[in-house]
Amino acid sequence: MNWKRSLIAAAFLTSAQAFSQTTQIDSSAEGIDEVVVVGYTKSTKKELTGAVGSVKGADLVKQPVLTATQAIQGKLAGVQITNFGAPGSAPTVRIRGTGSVIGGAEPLYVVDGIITDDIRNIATSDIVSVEVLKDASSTAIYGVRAANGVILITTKAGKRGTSSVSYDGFIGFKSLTNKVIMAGPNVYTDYSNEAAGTFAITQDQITGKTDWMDAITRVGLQQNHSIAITGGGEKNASFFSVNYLKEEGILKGNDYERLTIRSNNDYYIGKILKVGNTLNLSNYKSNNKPFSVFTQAYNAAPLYDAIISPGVYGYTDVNNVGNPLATLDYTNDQSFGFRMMGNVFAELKLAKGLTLSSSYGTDIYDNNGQIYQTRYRVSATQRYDTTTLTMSNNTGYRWVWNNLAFYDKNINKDHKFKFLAGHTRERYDGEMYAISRDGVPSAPQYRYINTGTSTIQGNILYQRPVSDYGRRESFLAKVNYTFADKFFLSGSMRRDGSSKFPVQNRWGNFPSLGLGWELTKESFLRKSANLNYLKLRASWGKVGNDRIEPAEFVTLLSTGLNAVFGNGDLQNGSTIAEIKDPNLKWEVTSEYDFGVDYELFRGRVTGTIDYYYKLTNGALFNVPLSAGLGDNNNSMLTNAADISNTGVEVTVGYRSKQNKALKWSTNLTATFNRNRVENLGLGRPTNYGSLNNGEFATRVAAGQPIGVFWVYETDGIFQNKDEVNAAPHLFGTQPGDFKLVDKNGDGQITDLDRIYVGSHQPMVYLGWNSQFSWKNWDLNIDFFSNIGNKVFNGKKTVRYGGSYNVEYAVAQNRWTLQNPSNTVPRAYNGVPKPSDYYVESGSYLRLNNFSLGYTANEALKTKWGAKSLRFYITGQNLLTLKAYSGFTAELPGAPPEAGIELNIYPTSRTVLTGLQIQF
Amino acid sequence: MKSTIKFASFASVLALTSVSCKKNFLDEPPRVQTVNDYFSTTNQAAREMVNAIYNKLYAWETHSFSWMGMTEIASDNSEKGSDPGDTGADKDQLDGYFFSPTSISFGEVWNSNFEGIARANKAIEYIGKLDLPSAEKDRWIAESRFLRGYFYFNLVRSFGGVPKIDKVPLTEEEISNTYVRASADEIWDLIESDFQVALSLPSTQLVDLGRGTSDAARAFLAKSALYRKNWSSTLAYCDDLINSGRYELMADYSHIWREIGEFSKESIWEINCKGTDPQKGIIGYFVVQAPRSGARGLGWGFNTPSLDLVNAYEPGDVRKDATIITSGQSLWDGWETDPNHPNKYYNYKAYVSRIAESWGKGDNETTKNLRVIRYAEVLLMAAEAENELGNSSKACDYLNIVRKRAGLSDFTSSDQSAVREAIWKERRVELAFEHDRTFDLRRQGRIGQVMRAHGKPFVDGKHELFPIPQRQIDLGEGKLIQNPGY
Repeated sequence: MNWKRSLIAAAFLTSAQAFSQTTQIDSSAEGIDEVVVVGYTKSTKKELTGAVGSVKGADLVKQPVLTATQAIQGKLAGVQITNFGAPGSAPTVRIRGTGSVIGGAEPLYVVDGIITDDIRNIATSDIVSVEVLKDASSTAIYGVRAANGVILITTKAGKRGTSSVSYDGFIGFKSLTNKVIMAGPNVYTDYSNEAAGTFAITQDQITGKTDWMDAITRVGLQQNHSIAITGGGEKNASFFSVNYLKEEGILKGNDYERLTIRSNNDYYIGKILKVGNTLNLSNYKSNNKPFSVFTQAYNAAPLYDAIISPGVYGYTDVNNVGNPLATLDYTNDQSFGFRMMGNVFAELKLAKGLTLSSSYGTDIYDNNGQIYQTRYRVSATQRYDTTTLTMSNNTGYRWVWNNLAFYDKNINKDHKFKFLAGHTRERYDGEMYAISRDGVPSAPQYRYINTGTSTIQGNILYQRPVSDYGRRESFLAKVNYTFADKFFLSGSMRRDGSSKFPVQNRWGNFPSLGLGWELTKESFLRKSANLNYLKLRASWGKVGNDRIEPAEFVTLLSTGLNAVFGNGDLQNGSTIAEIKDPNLKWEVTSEYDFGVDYELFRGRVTGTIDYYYKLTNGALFNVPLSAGLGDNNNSMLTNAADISNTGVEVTVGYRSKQNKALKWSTNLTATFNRNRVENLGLGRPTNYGSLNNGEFATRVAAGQPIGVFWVYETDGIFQNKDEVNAAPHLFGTQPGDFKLVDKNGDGQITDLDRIYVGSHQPMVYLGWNSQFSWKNWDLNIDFFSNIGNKVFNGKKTVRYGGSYNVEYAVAQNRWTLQNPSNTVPRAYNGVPKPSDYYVESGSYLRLNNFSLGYTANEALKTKWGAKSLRFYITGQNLLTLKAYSGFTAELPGAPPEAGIELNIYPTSRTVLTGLQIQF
Repeated sequence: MKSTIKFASFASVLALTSVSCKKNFLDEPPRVQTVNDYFSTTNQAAREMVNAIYNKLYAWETHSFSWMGMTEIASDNSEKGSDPGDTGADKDQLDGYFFSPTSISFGEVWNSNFEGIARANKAIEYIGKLDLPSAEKDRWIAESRFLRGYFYFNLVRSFGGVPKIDKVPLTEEEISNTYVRASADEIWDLIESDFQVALSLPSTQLVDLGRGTSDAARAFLAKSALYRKNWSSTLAYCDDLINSGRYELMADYSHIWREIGEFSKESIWEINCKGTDPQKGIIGYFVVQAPRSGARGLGWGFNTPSLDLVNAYEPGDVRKDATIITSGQSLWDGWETDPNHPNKYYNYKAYVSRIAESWGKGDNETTKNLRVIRYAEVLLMAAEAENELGNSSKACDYLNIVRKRAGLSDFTSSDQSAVREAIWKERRVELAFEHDRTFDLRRQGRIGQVMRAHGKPFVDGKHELFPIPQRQIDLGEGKLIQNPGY
């Protein structure tokens, strides 16, 4: 068995010895002639043989959100965006399902050729288009990092011989929606007393009444302003913009603000040389509040007042949750940072058809955190007896240098070739540290480490390096061949080297092939008024995913395993605690795609249908090791699992006649995806989704989707002792508890009786976007829907330690002798088993965006001296239809444990008004 | 950035063919400390490898909640405690004898002890290859074997025969053998050989208190022989200790488990803990057992004395009030407990005073040293061995040293079985909550009878051993055989 050999090699002595030696888009065309950016090149949609989605900048700015990815939710088939409501947060993005359990499932972002994981520094108003490369034939040119799909972002450039100044801005309000109603003081007291048994909450402990969700939330102000100046002379073109954004969270005191400056420049030197740069500077500052306060508010007893008098917080002894408002107010947590991203490039047209280009891009960041814990006392358990300042810094850089050669050649009119060959290098590095010290005075001007009073010992923590680091080198080549304007072939090859892996596994080849056939060019299927265009596509490609911590294959020394001797003499201890796989590799995904692009009825109906099958081999997984091998967590990270994603994507667009006063166009996207862990190799079904009470709700298991919910089946509620005694039951089961089904019939209720009941991954997700225009008015309506996903209502399982608050509906409908419910269990303070009671439908339909705009007529524009002028009002997330009883079914998370609503972040709605003006 | 500048001088197309530089570019040394990187910069390699074994003694899984559950809650001394709804993960199962191979306590104790064994094996193997004076080498290896012996001592008493892993498994066969159970006798032999090697250690530690000693090895050899009913061997090792003159009982029993009783004349081996900053104590040992709930709550209130134990003390036995907190009483340092704690009794030996002892930062790692073996037990082992060898009057002499300190009158009898009963009973009250009771009852061959009388559904032929953790059975390729009845 191979793994044993690797285990042996990894073990202690062997490894000890082993390491002893020591661009731009200019086209306004639409439909099949539309130009889209693909890997390192551009293409018309007609020539594409793979699956690529594109969203234009004008559609992005309609959404009042921080990042471009949030704005494309529901716009593209095969692209699943799961938003998180907190200010400054990025969404979870899954392109064509989830292909990795723990290797990272987020796509690769390429901003003007610069590779990054985080695009929160890019103002959406600076973006000209977002392209999503979905299938492996499109992404293979990005090789070892492309397995989760690639999102290409192109920023705006100036045009020669034009000039304009524009302002685009909005201001609005964000507020909490969809609150879950909690029990009030009396219902809460009844429920808790019934549950507790040993001590009772008495009437005199009810000293007030608080709706904690109201107490901690607010209406937050949202604003975004951008000014762009573009222009160009005969030999140069430039784009300059300034953008300011501020989001106030619905949690009191929580906000995020960002200033970005962009300067993109092109210079034309002679007839054959173009040089230029892109540059994005961004600065952010955020006031952070612990999101756990939402959960605290959910748990807090409602029977006392949040504030007794100014500065004096209420408290209670009936539970140990603490006063959520005090938690919020006593948190002083700020982060701020600076980031510079940009490149310089040169393009040389050396001969007819031959272009050489070189670009050097860099991304430099400096993030800081400052947490000041103030001295306070709310109660005996909610207090902090000293003051502590913690300062942290995370700084790093990345550079990527691309050298490319393009050669276009047509041989008579039937044969068109486009070649690309290139070489890229990349390096990234960073470090992180945190220092803390007690006794720092509280006035803001004294909040520095050197004002602390505590002795330094033990209170200064250094962690280094936590950031990712590594180097990559790649060779790439690509050919596009068009025959007779109806057959299309594209092939690519990338050879990637990555420093993250052991020497023998550093290099890999990532090929792809795509074929297209425009059927409507054939004599047997001539274009007709009803069928304007029909193209078949087929493609295959192989891509990798190397998102893994650096040096995971290196057997290392674990230090800090200290022991005390004598009179408090703490001595260092070190050992080789972990067994590592010295043959670790990246995850490899192969994907087939078959697609149809069509246009019907004179171009009024357009669309695409794709079928894909993706198989990821060697997905990273922690394989369990028996305890006798002595690994500290009894597992080893290795390339163990195979995961498949199979899906169908359908896009249908409709455009009304353009010569009517009322115009509308609509676009519907639907994505069906089935995710399955094909096998775990030497791995075992592994529990994830901790409920923080010793129980787990999800699993990764062969034959199931990643993160499938794994629970007991319930069959109603035991109504009396006789029923309990007659059925298999857990020790301590009483009337009012769930009848857990003994699935395997062994007369006992154990883990073996648990069943798989679906996952957080939807069976289908839909986007439906419509635009109407009538005279000067325009209206945009976007719907988004998830169907077939499940949510685990984890917060309901936690009444650990007793006397947490309870949802009003649960308390009112609970089983009692007088109310023999068969669905809601008795009042209970213990740890319930995860059962299908907590698994709810996560399907929802949401009105994502509703925007009404008015474009000024000539008279008004003339009066203002503007080229264009538009006012609008927008409502974001105005309406949600859902079955789920909790706050939201839109729950981002790591692939094996998403979809559990345990740490609450409620959804919000935004209503705003804006202005776009161009001079 | 140097490489950037160098490469920038190449024309863009030429870079495609700059293969000669490619090899170097991807070399990015891993920024984690490898074994030799570290140990080449210190002469403390042997010490640190051995310290890391001691470190495992502090683990939650080794000596805390699960260990209390298996050694005390699963006996007649103690109940689960806490609130009825709070199971303590599986302590209700241990208390009620409805535990199973998936009960988490077994997995925790199994994994943690085997990790300790692995750390010991790595130290033994690594130190053997270090360039050190042989005396120093032998000393570190002897300490490693002492600790390995201790981990196996706890495993064999819990599970019976377990896999015998006495070196780092490197070959396929050695890896495969980690799934195979050796017999209990083979494990006992290994334990004895480990403690035999540890006899080369100094008899006591003068500076590094808490490290293994040859006296501690003698005590464990005596106790191992006790489990194997090798009475003369038990007696020989006990006699060595008794005649050495290095040990005597503390005058006040109630001081043994307080800070003032650390490393006393009675102490033979204890785990040295330190609650000050940075902390290093047995994780959760205090907080798991401290009185629960209310304004006077200190912890979670598990592992509470049973009424049966409370009633087991003879009138006038000073050990009762030193072992058991009764809710509402004020403690030795003046701390008032609450009459309304959810449990009537708590374990006094786990109590640490915030006022009168060094407390440090938090209650998760306290200064409480775990007294693993002490002189009173040596006397009781000597008594038992003497009695089994037919010297009941000698046995009573040893027994009465212990009784006298407890404030009790002498026990005399020449009836071997009466003396045996008296010694067993004495062990219970003397060593209550010192993680011995379940194993003592098993050793005495009467655990079924005692636990059934205590109202527990004990099944003969099954519950004499805890089950092998199911996880290990699953990973054992069919070679790891479960204990009977599970």
